[in-house]
This record gives sequence, C-alpha cells and structure tokens, in this order.
Amino acid sequence: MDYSALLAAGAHAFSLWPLLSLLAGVSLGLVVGSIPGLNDTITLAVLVPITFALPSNIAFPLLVGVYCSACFGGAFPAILLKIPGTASSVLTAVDGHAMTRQGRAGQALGIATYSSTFAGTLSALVLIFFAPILAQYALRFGPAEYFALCILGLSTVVGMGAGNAMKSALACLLGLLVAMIGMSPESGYPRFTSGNFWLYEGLPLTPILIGLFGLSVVFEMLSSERSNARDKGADEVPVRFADMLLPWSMVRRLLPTWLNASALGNLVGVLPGAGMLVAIYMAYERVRRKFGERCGQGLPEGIAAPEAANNSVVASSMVPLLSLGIPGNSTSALFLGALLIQGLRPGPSLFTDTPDIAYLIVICFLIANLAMFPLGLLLARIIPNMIRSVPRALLAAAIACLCFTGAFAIGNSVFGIMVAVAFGIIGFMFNRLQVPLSPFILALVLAPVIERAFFQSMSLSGGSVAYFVTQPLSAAMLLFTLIFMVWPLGKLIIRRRRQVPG
Amino acid sequence: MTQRRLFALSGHWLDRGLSLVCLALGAGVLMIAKGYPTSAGALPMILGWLLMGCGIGLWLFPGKRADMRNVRIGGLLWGMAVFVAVLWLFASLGADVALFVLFVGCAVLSGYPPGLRLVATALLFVILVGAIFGGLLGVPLPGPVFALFSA
Amino acid sequence: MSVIPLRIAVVLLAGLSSGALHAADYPQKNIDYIVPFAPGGAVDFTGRLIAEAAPEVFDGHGFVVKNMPGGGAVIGQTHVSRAPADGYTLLAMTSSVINNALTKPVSYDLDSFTPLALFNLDPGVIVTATDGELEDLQAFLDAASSDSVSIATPGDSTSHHVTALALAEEEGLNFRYVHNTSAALQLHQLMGGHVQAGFMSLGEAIGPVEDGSIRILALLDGARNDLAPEAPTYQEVTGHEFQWGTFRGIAAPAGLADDVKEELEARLGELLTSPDFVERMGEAGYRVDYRDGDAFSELLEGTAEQMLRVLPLLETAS
Repeated sequence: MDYSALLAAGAHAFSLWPLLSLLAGVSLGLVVGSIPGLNDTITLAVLVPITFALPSNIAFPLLVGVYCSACFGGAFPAILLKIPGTASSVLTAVDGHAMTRQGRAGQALGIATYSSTFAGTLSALVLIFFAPILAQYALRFGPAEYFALCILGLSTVVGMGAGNAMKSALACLLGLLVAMIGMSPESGYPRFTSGNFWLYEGLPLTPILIGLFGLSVVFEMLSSERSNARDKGADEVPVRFADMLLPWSMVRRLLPTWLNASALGNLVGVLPGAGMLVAIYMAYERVRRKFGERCGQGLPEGIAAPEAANNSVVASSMVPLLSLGIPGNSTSALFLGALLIQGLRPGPSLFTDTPDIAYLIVICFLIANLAMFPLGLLLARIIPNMIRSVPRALLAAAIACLCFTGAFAIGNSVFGIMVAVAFGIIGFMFNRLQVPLSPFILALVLAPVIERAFFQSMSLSGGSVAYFVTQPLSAAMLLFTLIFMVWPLGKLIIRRRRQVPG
Repeated sequence: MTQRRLFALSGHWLDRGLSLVCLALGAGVLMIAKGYPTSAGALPMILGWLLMGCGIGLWLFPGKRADMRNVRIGGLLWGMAVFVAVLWLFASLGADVALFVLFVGCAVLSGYPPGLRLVATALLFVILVGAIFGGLLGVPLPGPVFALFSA
Repeated sequence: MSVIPLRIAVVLLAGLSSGALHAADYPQKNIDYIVPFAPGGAVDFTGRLIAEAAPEVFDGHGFVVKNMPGGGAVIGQTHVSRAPADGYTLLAMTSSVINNALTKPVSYDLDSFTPLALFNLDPGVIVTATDGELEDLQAFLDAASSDSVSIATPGDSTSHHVTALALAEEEGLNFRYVHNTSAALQLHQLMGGHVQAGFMSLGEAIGPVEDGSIRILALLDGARNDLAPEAPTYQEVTGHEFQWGTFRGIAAPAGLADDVKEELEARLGELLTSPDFVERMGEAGYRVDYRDGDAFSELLEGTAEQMLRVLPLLETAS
C-alpha cells in the first residue's frame, strides 16, 4: 500500500477539472439510472470512446461517477412509482413504494440516499485497502461454489410471497422456466424457441423488467376507474428537506442493517457473474427474517438493506478488474476498454506501474459516493414534487413512452418492445393475482448460472454429484441453504405442537 | 368473507384458475422437453414436474387476496390495441411518430381531455425524449424527425 | 397536427433524393455500423473506435454504432444481409457469420455480404495458470493423451470450442470441456485453478500473461507474435501445423454498386491505416492488420473450408 501515492491522488481528485467531471458523471448516472431501460452499461458504452480525447484524470472521474450513481438513481422511480429504474432496485420498490403510499416518500428517499452513501463509501474504502485480499478470495469460487451460492440465493425467495408460499414458489418456477428459453448452455440445443432466432439467446432481461414493472403500472392506470384520473396524485404529500434528513435515532436503528448488507455486498458482489442480485436478495432476506410480516409494509430496513447492498456491489465489482484484470460484469468490461485506451493495463501491475491513475480511480469511487449524498437529496427534493404536479393521465402516457423507448434502445429493435408489452400483461396479472415479482426476477437471472455451473461441475468431476459436497466452500453453502429451507418449517411445527396442548 | 368466496373474480376461485394454468403449463413443458437431448432437457423436465406440483398445491391451498374486480376490461383492451398499433408504427414509420401516438393514446384512454393542449404536450415530450436519447446519450432512435438529433 | 406530416414529408423527400446514388454522391448521410453483439465486447469496442475516427474520412458523416445482439449474432447479421445495398448499412464482420451459416438455419451465407476490409487478426492460444502443473505444451499433450485435461471454453460451439475439438481429433486427445460465457470467466477459472487449461484469443490473454498470472503454452499461428515473443508456435514444438484464429472486419450487404464499393473500400482503407487509428488500437491491445476486400474474401473462404472440415466433430460432440 503506497500511502503517499494515495494521498497525492486524493489531493489531485479535488482539483477543479477532475472534481467537475466527477460531479457531471454522478449527475448523469442519477438521470440515466432513474429512466427505466437506460442503465450504466449503455451509457458507458457511449462514453468510453469519447474519453479518448480526454486526459485520464478527467476521463476516469466521469466514468466512475456514472458507474457509482446509476444504481442509486434506480431507486427514485422504484420508490415513487414502483418502477425500478435498474435491476438492482427491484427490491427497493417493495417497501419503498409502500412508504410512498403512506405519504412517507420523503423519508423513503432519505433512507435510500443515506444507505447508498454509507454502503458505497464503506465499499470504496474496502476497494482501496483490501482489494487484493478480496480478489484472492473470489478466485476460490469455481463451478461448484457458484452452483451452491446461486442455490443459496434462490432459497431466499421461500418466504418472499406476502403470505402464500405456494405463490412465491410459482413465481420462482415461472422465472426458471422463462430462463430456459434459448440455447442450452451445455450443448447449445435451442429450447422453447420454435426456430425463432430472436429467442436463441433467451429473452433480454431489461425489456422483461420494463414490462413487468413499468408497463404493468401503465396497464393498471389504463384499467382503473376514470373518475379520479384527472386528479393530481392525491395520496402524495409534498416532499420537504426536513423529511429526508434522518434523525439520529433512525440512523442508529438502520446501522446494523447497513453493516450487514455492506458485508454481503462486498463478499458476494466481488464474484464475477452473479454477484449483484444475489447480494441484494440475501441482504433483504436477513431483514425479512428479523421483521417477518412487517417487511413489505413500508419498513425502513426494507429500503436500507437492498440499497446498501447494491451500492457496495458497485465498488466491489471493480475488485477483480483492478486486482486481477478480469472484468466482473459488462460494465467493468467497458472500464477495461477505457483503461486500455488510456494506455493502462488493469491487473496487479496497475498500482505499481501507474499509481497516480490507479489510486485516482479508487479515490474517485470514494468521492463519487460522497457526492451522491447532496445530489441525491437535491433530486429527491425535485423529482417527487415534479411527479406530483403532473396529472395522472399524462404520467401514464409519459411512463409508457419511456418504457417503449428504453425497450427499443436496448437492442435497436421492436422485438424489445414486444417482450416488454408481453411481460407488461404478465406483470399486471401477477399483481392482480398477488403473485410476487421478486422471486421471478431472481430465478430468471440465476437459472442460467445454476445450470451452467452444474454442467461445468459435472464435466470437472466426471459426472459425480458428490463433487458439490466434497468441496468445502460449496458444502458449507449448501448446508446453509438446507438450514434456511428447513428452519421456517421446523418453527411452524414447533408452534403447532405448543398450541395443541395449550 | 363469504362475499369474497362467492364472487368469481376474487379470492380463491382466481387462484384455482391460476392453478389450472399451472397444470397446463407444466404438462406442456413436459411434452416439449421430452424431445430434447438429455443435457438440454433435464432441467426443463424437473421444472415441468415442479410446476404440476405447484398447480396441485395451489388448488388445495388457494389464497384469498387475488382480486380482479374494479378492472375496466375496456380500458385494458383499448390499451392493448394502442400498444399494438404503436408497435407497428415504430417498425414502419419511426419512433417519433409512434411515441406521439402512444402518448396521446395513453393520455386519452386514462381520461385526459383531448385537444390542442394534449397535442402540444405530446409533441414537447416526444421531442424531449428524442433529444435525450439521440443527442445527449448517443442512443440513436429511428424516425424522420429524430434523425435530425443524431446528425 | 398539420406540422408533423409536413416535416415528415420534407425529410422523406430529402431521403429519397439521396437514394439515387452516384459515387460522387457518397457519402451523403450517416452510416449505420451494426454490431451484432451487446455493448462491452471486443467487436463493439473496436467498432466504436472506428466510429470515433470516421467523420474525418467520410466528409463529416459519422458511423452510428448500433448494437443488435441476439441469436448468437444472427439477428444483427440477418439485419445487414437484408438491408438495402446502398453503402449506408455496414456489418462488423466476424467468423461467426461462417459458423452461423453452417450450423443454424439462417437466411444468409457468405455470399450475402460484400467484404470490404479486414482490420484485425487475433490468433488462438492455449493457456494455463502460471502455477499450473502443465509445464509446457508437451506436458499438456502428454496429459491429454494419457489421461484427460479440463479445458475452459468461452461457450459451446464457439470458435475456440471448435479449435479444441479439431485439435483433439487431430492428435487423439481427451478434453473435458467447461463451457463459460466469456473470456473473463475463463480467466477466472484458470487463475483460480479450477481448470487445467483454456483456449482463447491472444488479445484476450495478453493482459494476464504480461501480469504473470497465466502462461501461453502454444500460439496457434504460423509465426511468433511480437505481442508475446516468448510464446512458441504449435508447429515449433510439435512439428505439426495447427493454426486457428479469429478476425474482425467490415462488410456491406451483397449487391453493392461498383462505384460505391470502390469508394467505401478506399475510404475504409484510409481510415483503418491512419496512424491515429493504428495507435489507438495498439493502446487498446489490438494490432491492426489491414487487408482490402478481396484479401478479406479469400480469408473468409479459407476459414469456411476449415469450418466445413471440423463441422462433423461438433455434431458428434453435442
């Protein structure tokens, strides 16, 4: 650890142009994240070539700013409209929107801002000081460990349905089933495609999310009674700064949740491939375990956990890239491109060969997360009141337009829109039939990883299923899964037994 | 409680309907996946059986909270019609025309009074979307008017 | 309301008049550069480098990079094969055009495209972890013929999987394939010691090789490469010839008018060999090997023949 280089980079980051471009990046990220269909990947893909012309001390603050804040930006529409702006805020929508409906939108946005800033800053510090250790730990995850981790992640959906376990199981199964569409990972055999090439790589995730969350809301608005359609959003109270600033008691109450979620985010998020969603769901599951029924009814911890988890994943997903030269997701693959363009090579040599830029990047993660706080609060003050001033009918129209545009932009084709419309109807039915959406999303994302990891393990072990249990790490995770699954059942039985004699 | 149970569009009868859909879906998956090679068909087969199981479970223990009342079927169908028309416009004429139609259609369907005011709002909004996507973010959208932004 | 149709009509008319092409008229507007993959990969990245340099060479008209992922690049390739051959729709052409045309029921083949320029050749490599137990290529071959070796590929029926299949067939080797979805995951498994070796492109391996976390056992090319001068070619070690690589080029739909084709080839040649572009590509880790349309066609034909030979292997393997 080269402290003098770290300090020099820190001082440099606070000079005029780097700081300005960082702030510009954070603002752009917030906007992009809050529009369903736009995300950090597509923004960075556009920005990276532009950064040629820029010196690296301006280029990287800009890119880091976008990357850090996009996933926080997704929380705004999630809380206010129940439409997650990015996949990472799927769970934020559950308690966040419940709070909005209770007239506590300001507090919900405040919690999201505090949680994101706290966890983001913490994981930036982890990135600065512990990146090499985390990277070595991530390398221990082979196929068997990935399989076990995803099964563990999937087990968190068991209790997720509001009351009816059968329906969360159903949502989970349907998610797995939709994920089956496309070429199988082992043999490339096309499944459920009926020869249609659009389906060969499976249904694209972003249009599905846009449909399930965005267009389903539009359908809901179109099919609700017209009588109050011209009213302004009546159930929303104006948001003031005072609502967003959390009292010390609330901060103390949320602190354990933040620490828990950040720890999970840092440990799980560092794994290339499946990290983000698993970390978020596991963090939420811990809250659900603690608060039970109150979860999903507008519980502050229900926002704090997913928001803290997703922001800590952002920085920790950079660990494999900076320490090993392996991009963990498509966004950090674009970062890799940006580094290469500037003549830098990610990997262990980055910090020894070009410490000024390497430390500037990690310091930027720290500052970007801190900058999110005032900018986030500012947006939280403006956006809700803006949404309130728009008549409901126009809001429906605007959401529909954004959904269509986003679904189109992701693949430059109307196929994305078709998928979004189809899943809009499915999402509408899910909502009406009280089938929870979150297990569906998790299963959809994890299914390909699970199937691939399974066949990889079979190939490595020569077809023996015992392989999963002989690897210590995967055995431990599978054991945890078993405990998690059996525990609620056991508790139920114990309770029944006690009730019978009494 | 009794009213909920009796009404066909709410409570556990809806869930029973869902369970039938589940059974049908599971059976369909099993039929299709049977023809797949082992490595590709294994997981779909498992899913098919689990879906059938889930369908039976849901039939036996239906919830009571599903609710299809207060749904204006007319609004839903009109909405679908607008969406399909917009899809066609998107592919044939361009994003700008399609988004304009979509905006006006959705607003009118949710009860906004049609008129010059709506047309002006829709125009402004569509141009704003085109400017943000095409100009600011560099994600080009097709269409005669939007082409001006990316040029 | 009347404002919109009028504007549309004006723009449409403008579009129509430019449709009637003379070479001198080209280029009149922005050119769509179709990348049949999602943002973030090498093809997308190099495409955006080209787009960045385009306006200088194309009289101020730009390349608009459009990602059309799906179907294993089939969606984007189909789109270009059906696009009007007016020089305003170009495809980021990779070997997947050949694979798809041979292995999937697609509506196009090599003849549906006019190859215009090749700008990057990326030879295949066999790699292992630096601390792995396979010392060199000979040890790798011995282990694979007596027992079996676990191999990380970037996916079933990808070019690298096919390479491994072809090698196994030629030398009588036993591989256990671990299919991934990207080179990044391959590297992860190699460095973590979960697999013994992997097949990938030199361009994807070079970073970790320079860091010392993986080693190149053999370069599947005719001669050593100056990116990794210590890495021996396969032929040097074994005496058998075995070459395989991927390439990146640019193509238009078939049926391009001759004058437009000449114009495009000349301008692309100028762009792809300009010192600025070569330098940027070099910084990003890609060596520019420019070849004109005819040479590119030849390379495509050669690759197609090679693919046809190993195709039966793929079918028996899956």
